[in-house]
Amino acid sequence: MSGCSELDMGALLYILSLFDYYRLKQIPCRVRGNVPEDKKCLALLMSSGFFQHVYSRMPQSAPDRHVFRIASAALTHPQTAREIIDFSLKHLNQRISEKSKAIYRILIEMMNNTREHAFVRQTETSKWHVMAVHDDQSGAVRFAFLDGGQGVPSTILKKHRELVTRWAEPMLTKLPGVRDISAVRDIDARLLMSALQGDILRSKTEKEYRGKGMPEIYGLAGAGHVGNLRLVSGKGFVDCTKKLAVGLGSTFQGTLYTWDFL
Amino acid sequence: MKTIHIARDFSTAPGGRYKRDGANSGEEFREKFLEPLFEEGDMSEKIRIVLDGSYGYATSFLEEAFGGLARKFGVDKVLSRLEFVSKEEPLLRDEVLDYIRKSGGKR
Repeated sequence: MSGCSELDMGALLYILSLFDYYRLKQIPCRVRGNVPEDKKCLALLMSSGFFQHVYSRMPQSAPDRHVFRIASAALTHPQTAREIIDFSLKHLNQRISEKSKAIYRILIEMMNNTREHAFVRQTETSKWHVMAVHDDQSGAVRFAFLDGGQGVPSTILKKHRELVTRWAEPMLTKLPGVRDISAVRDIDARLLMSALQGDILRSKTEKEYRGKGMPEIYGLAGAGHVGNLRLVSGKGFVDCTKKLAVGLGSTFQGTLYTWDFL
Repeated sequence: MKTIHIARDFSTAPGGRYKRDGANSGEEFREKFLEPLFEEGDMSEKIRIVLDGSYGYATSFLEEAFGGLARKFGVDKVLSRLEFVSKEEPLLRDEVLDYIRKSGGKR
């Protein structure tokens, strides 16, 4: 990382998630290299707690009050959700409100959903990772949450293939010779956007109370309570602020959410 | 009337749906605080549930706690005994009542 001039929280969480995946698949993995020379990047890397999550000789650094260190688990951890809300409210000089309660609720649902998206139904396989940074220039608290499971599009396709096929029918009929929805370009991005908007991600029993996590954060973004909401999963990328949903050339393992708490 | 203040009596940081999902689940809350009141004691006693004071409630927590109660003891029985107080999030009361009514529990 010596030449690194910008360090993204999502990138750090993704690296940890990849290590989890290699461990799960019993693929030996060793990383060698240098830390960033850029002071800001180095400071963020050291204060993120990244090296406490991997086997490393790097010493533990002093905490940075602007950084909520990486937290990870396989189970839902309300204590972490509470701490991250406290961190945010302290820096934003706000109190617990309907907005903070909505974000708490979303964090819990995201942690819960990681188990739903697990590769196999065991508690020790898929983990979530979360981190936050207070940007003292913009004043916002930036969040990154990574669900280390199969990814939203893949999970939706596996669990609701018939439903998705019906939903994708208009796209399929426009493409002669295409029978499989996986072949539709940008399908992952469209599935992500659709799940955010709440028009496809309902439980099999169609009960309204389920599948609310993604539509809820989308609703918060729409109401201006969170900013810069972005998702990456499978081959899809969605930027809710720009109302953009694009296909990616490579597959992103898991689901990464990033947003600003305003 | 019995009062259960979730944040004070159970946790200010409620969790997810099931006990196997992690700490402070809706299932745990229901089993510890609600089910005993529907299994023994005065079946006509009203129960006030105070939702204020917590960091928030996941949909899955509320549905499993109260929808799950209705699935076990019946929608009408639960609706007739439970009252909800939510000054901090007024809409939460209606949300919970909706979970009870749509729980799939017998009437």
